[in-house]
Amino acid sequence: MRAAVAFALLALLAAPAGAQSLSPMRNAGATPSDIKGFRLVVGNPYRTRLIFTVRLTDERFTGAAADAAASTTEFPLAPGASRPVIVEFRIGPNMKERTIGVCISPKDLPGPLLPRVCGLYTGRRAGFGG
Amino acid sequence: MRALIALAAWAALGAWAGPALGCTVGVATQGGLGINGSGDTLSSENVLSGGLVSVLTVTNGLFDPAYTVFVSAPSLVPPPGYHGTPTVLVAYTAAGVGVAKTQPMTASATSFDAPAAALAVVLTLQSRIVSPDGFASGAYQSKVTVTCAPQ
Repeated sequence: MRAAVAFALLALLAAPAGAQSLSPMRNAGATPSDIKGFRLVVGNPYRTRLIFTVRLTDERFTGAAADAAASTTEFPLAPGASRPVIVEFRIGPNMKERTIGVCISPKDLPGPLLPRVCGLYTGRRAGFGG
Repeated sequence: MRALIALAAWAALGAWAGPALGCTVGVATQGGLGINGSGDTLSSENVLSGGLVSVLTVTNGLFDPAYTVFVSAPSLVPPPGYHGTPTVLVAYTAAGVGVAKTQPMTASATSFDAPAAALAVVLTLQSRIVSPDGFASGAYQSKVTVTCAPQ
């Protein structure tokens, strides 16, 4: 309880000016083809209008993901609003499954800090290997 | 207990305006750099010349899994025409339920794990740019990306 109170005080001192959320942060599913898609929801839970960018990455959130696309890569979100983003990627011909990362960050946020939220999404090829 | 902590955190985060699922990363204070007396170090620790720490809050949903916070290697955003190669460093402390991390000054990327019970973690970052030859006039910035991702 003491930890909760101390933490609430810390959080009070740290009310964010800009942030984002991504849900779910992890998902997996099968596909009968070599393309797998996921529906993600990006939210702006704070009281500032923000423009967000969507970046498709490898599993370590560093390099760009090949053969992957998002329904939108940049969009504004009103305070408290959320919107779906569809991502899809190709599973290679010799791969049973593939995982990509999706990272959301605000665009042109001034200052030295860039906040970013990333998730992991795995597509599995149904019936691969018998 | 987790619900209580979550409510306390969300109530304290007065800017919150709607339901948030998954991890969120919010910037509370962007921070700033001040120069030291000998003119070879720009740092958030130089508070007498305008230095200010950066503060972020990472929150996690009630039913979301444990997560990892990645802090990138700091990079320099120099003024136009500057061609020096100063050392850029970042240090931080992270505090939350189940999280107590102290990272000394480093030029490398670092990370730490947070349990699912860590519904909110406060990061306090210090930045430092060291140039033994001093700095040309202009605006300098140390850039760091803070990422929340599932373990």
